[in-house]
Amino acid sequence: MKPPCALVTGAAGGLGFAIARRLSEAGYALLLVDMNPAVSDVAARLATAGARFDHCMADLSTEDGITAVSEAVLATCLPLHLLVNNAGITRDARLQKMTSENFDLVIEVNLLAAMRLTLGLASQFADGSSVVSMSSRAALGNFGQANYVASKSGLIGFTRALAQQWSPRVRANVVSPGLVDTPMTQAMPDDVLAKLVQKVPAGRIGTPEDVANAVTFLASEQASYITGQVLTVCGGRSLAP
Amino acid sequence: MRTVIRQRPCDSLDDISHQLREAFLALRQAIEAENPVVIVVSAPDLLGQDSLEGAALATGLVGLMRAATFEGSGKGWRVNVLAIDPEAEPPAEMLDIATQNGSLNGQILNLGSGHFGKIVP
Repeated sequence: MKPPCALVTGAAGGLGFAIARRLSEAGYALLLVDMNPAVSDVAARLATAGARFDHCMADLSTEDGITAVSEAVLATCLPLHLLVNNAGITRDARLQKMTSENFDLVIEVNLLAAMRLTLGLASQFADGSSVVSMSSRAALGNFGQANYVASKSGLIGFTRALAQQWSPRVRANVVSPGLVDTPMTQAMPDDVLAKLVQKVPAGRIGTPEDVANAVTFLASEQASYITGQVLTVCGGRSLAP
Repeated sequence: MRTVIRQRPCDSLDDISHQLREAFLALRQAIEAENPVVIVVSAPDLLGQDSLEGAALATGLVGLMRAATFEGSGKGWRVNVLAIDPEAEPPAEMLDIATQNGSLNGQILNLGSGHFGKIVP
């Protein structure tokens, strides 16, 4: 029997890899997409774990990139059972020092590219399939991230509208991670990171696997009655003072 | 003085980008002038009940408001969102409340009845 197919964007990053690996364990065949050539390394690592996959290098902020992904889906991943919009960037600066260029770039990559890809693949989705988009706890507000917060908040609005328009054929949900152990947090000074962890009621930093588990759940049959929702994976940080 | 930023009808990805950039620049200018800001969005778009583009734009504007208040509430920046029917004009008394009440900051003021029983993002 042919396995269900999942497309994961931003697959070369730490979160993308964890999501891809978890989905593979759940029985998905994978199409991994990233503009970073390291996506082929990710594919190689997954191959050693027995995953079924293809990969595609594409810049999703361009029409050519969307076309390349659409062609890859047609060639290897039909019908599409799951799209994970995981690609994202940051260009942080205080609001008064943030440039228009960096504001536009983050909106383009984090919000518009995800919308463009989702809508471009509209006819490729199987009945009962699902879109999971990665937002962030920061969508509720964060320092020096006006561009990022607007983009990740916009993704929530898009998903809520998509859920209503594409039901019952396709479900759409959002995962909003909080503080997670990634190369970005690993680059922080130890004392800064420790202070951030102190604010997490769960008492620890999240792992990429925590996030991957949430994505896999929302994509699964167990979540078949869930659409248009935001699952915040932040150890309670979005509630605590 | 206050600055009112208003969401316009939106039907393309380019327009989302354009309106968000416009709002970002207007917000920054208002902050530099120490003006309180009200961002007026479409109430149905806030709930995702109209177009995909409009929903992304409305919640993107809410994100902009939340980022600004997170960063600047301690410096006296005041930004709120007013959600209204897309055909309506924002009531002057609500603009006054959104800009003159010192303890109201980073909030969504939702007029109309469409949000009853719904999750507001």
